[in-house]
Amino acid sequence: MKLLPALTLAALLCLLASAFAAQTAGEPILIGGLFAESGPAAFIGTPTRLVAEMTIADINAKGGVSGRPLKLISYDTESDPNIAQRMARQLIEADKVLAIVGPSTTGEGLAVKKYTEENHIPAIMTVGGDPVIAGGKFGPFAWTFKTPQRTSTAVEKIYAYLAAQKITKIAVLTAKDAFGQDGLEQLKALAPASGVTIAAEESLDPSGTDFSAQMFKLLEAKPQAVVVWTIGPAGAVAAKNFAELPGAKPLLVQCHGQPSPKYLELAGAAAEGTLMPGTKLMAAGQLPDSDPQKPVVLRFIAMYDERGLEKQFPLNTHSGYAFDALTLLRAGLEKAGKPDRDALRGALESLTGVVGVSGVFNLTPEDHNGLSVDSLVMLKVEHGRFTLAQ
Amino acid sequence: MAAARARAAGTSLFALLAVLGCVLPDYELLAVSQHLFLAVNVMALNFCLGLGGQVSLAQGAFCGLGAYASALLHPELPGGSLAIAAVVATAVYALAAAVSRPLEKLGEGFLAMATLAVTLIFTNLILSLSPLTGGTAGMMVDSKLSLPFLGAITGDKPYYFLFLGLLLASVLVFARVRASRLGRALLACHDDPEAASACGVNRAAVRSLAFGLGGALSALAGMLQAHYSGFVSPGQYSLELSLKALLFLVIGGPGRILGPIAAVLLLETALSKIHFLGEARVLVHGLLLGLALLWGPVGAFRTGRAGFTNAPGAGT
Repeated sequence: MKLLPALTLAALLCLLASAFAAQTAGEPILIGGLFAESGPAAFIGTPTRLVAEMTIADINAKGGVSGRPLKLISYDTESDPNIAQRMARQLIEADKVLAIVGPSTTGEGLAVKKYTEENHIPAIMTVGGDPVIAGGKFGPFAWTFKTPQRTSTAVEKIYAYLAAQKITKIAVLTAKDAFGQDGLEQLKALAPASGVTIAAEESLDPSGTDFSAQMFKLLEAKPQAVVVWTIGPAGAVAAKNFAELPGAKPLLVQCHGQPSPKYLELAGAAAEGTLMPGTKLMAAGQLPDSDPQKPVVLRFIAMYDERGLEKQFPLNTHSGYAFDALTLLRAGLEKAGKPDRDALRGALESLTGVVGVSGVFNLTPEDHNGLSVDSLVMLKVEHGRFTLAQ
Repeated sequence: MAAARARAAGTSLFALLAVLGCVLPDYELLAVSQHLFLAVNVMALNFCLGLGGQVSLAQGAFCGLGAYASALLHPELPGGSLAIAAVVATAVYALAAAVSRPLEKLGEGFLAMATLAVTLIFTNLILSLSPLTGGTAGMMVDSKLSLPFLGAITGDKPYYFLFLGLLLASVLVFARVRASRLGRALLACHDDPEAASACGVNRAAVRSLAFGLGGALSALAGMLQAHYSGFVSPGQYSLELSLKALLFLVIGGPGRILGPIAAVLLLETALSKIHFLGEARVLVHGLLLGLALLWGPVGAFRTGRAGFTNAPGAGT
């Protein structure tokens, strides 16, 4: 008679298990994540994964997508295109994910894109560079999307601000990496239409520690503003070198990759008065109530704090991109009505009015980013913090 | 006896790799192919360092030259993969041999610096020709390799076996060269350059031959890699590749064949399994190199014959 209690227990367990299964309602939808959690881009990749996990938990807490929870399977790409390609294949072929979020850098994005385009896998990337969705020699981008603003959008924002200040003559200092190269191309391409002339050009090595010589040469051309295009500490170094030069100086404008507490910390007093376009995350408190992004941005910041992420990775302009990628993914899945790659792709490129942290997304088959100049604000450093520039 | 045992070990290693190629799922093959690509570069470096005793950090540049040349030539000459491979290999052979001639006069440390400069020059060349090469961002390679009887090469298995074939070819050429008069001349330069010259070895000539062979081999590996990954960027062929090749060759033992190949395959696989360590992987890399330099085949604390040389400092 020892069998009976055992059987009863087994039956009970089965009941319990089915009760739990009913709660989550249906199989989870698998989403792949590629984040550079080590290597040179780890400072972007690691917080991106944490935000992705936070967003997935939030989506699931609200009932998931069509009653099914999302499940994130993520791998570290080591900031290396070869490993990113390998991990993407593992996600698709072994883990059988529906779509991919990430990777973190443009080089990795291009390496992954080759495979995802050929095999029809929707990929929503959080890379800064435009080539992933530029077409032409960078290949088709039917299945590739990206959430950070295009470089051209940031350049337009800067030029619009300069025009309002009646500034027409500028000098540019751009990084030698892919990001800086992209910036230089767009700065040059959009200058004529915006009535801006580039009086001098210099380049910098993003791992360099002194750009005084370049700054000095640029100032010789007597520009009304100097635009610096680089990500990371080099921007702060440039600001310091700029501040240390003698004489009256023009405006210093940084690019949209720069707004972060780190910049303020590294540049110190030299940051005062510098300008840069940034996402609305950086000046959430000052947004007008009419801004549709305001509630989303404030809610994001609250969640970010609640999870304790602020202590590890103080909020910067990049923080929201993974949130936006998953917000787009959810909106796309809901519009598609079924977890199917073809349907998801079609739904994604016809999404309009999706409010995210980085802006209001209006995608089209030609525009796989969907953010306009309105998604950026012009920030000015005043008293050691970012404020909306007038 | 020892030679027969080495041949048996080599045959079983390649047989094992061939079996792996048939049974592994495609996405796992990609990883092994990437390791094989590195292994070919290690063998390429083995010609200069293992035989000639010259430390070269130019492998990345030669590999990149092959990759970019093939990516740029294929659209002009579709279907001409074999001809392109021949042209690329010959051109890079000539370039590497020419570069090595003046460098031969330099002492060990300075030679490493000069070859490092070759890699940096290559990167800057790619950056400054950005309308052609796509600059830092790199470019997509849409053209396919096509070989007689096989047609256009696509998919993981064909590329895996091409890499394996290239590695096998490099091993056979290396073994032949090592056993030849040229190989002995190179080993003489390796052990004692002055004595070799005194014995009538034309040092610059034999070493430039070894340098050229290594360059051509790297270029072919780069060519395969470019079409396999479908994407080339200067970052893939930077100093990092040169350093990795040097690291694994030193760990596996310069001048040997199976040691370096086994080092690449085993350690790269192991390193890719310790993802969870994050940044600490760099530390593991450093520790490995340190251990290899102390107790490895050319290690300082290794008793007895190191590889097949006992010249002081020859392993650096």
